[in-house]
Amino acid sequence: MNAKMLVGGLLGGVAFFLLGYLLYGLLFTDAMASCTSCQRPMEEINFLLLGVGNVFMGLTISYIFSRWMSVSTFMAGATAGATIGLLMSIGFTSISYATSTVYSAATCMLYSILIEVIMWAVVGGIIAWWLGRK
Amino acid sequence: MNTKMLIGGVLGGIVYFLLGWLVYGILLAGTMEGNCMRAHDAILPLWIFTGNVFTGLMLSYVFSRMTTVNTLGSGAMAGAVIGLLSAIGIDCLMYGTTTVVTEPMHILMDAAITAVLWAIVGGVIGWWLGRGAGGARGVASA
Repeated sequence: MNAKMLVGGLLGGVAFFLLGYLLYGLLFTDAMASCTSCQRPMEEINFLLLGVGNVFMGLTISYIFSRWMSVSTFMAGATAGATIGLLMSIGFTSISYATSTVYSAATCMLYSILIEVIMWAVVGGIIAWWLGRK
Repeated sequence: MNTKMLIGGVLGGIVYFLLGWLVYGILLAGTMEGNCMRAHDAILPLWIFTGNVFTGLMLSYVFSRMTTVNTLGSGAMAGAVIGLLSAIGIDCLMYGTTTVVTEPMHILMDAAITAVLWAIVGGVIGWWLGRGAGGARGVASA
């Protein structure tokens, strides 16, 4: 892990945090709230851990892209990020649905997968742009 | 995505399912129970298997495009790093926003377990992708 990769991870984490606030916190708030009884109310959300979690997700993408064969532009990163996000979010939501009550129905999983693909595409694009800079 | 990559993903998914059953289903059964966790007899194995296969496909897709993952050792190392980083990320998000993860210690425990499981799964996928001449990346197209 080098400085450029770490900065890329931090950038990705900030982007994840802002996109998560926009998508989960504003646009899809009601849809997601009706999907689960496990969600913390807004006043109980632990924003510190939310931030830490987002940075680690950014670091995951940055680590992968720093060893990728040809991701150095926003578009290439967005495509790769969307693909990884799609596969990972289907994997994660399926396991969560199987082992917990965090998703009350399959449609709730679809919401979550859709949101994650958008987020991973944008964050992937930003990190690839950063890593591809001269 | 090509056939070799897809088979690598399914192979990884099967290994992940068996390892998860051994670790979470037997060795650590009951350890991570919380408000929102299903009871042992209400768990949905088919969905777990589906999730494991998609996780295997994700690793196989990533490895087939990384420059240095084509052996058991390099796959294990990459799988461990990706598993550790993403598990800490996901568990922190789950702890911060839901009551699925209720103990901070579970974040560390799950991250360590995931790193070990993904190292093994990654090793199997790395070995598979590196088998034979050409490998997966010779015909990678997506």
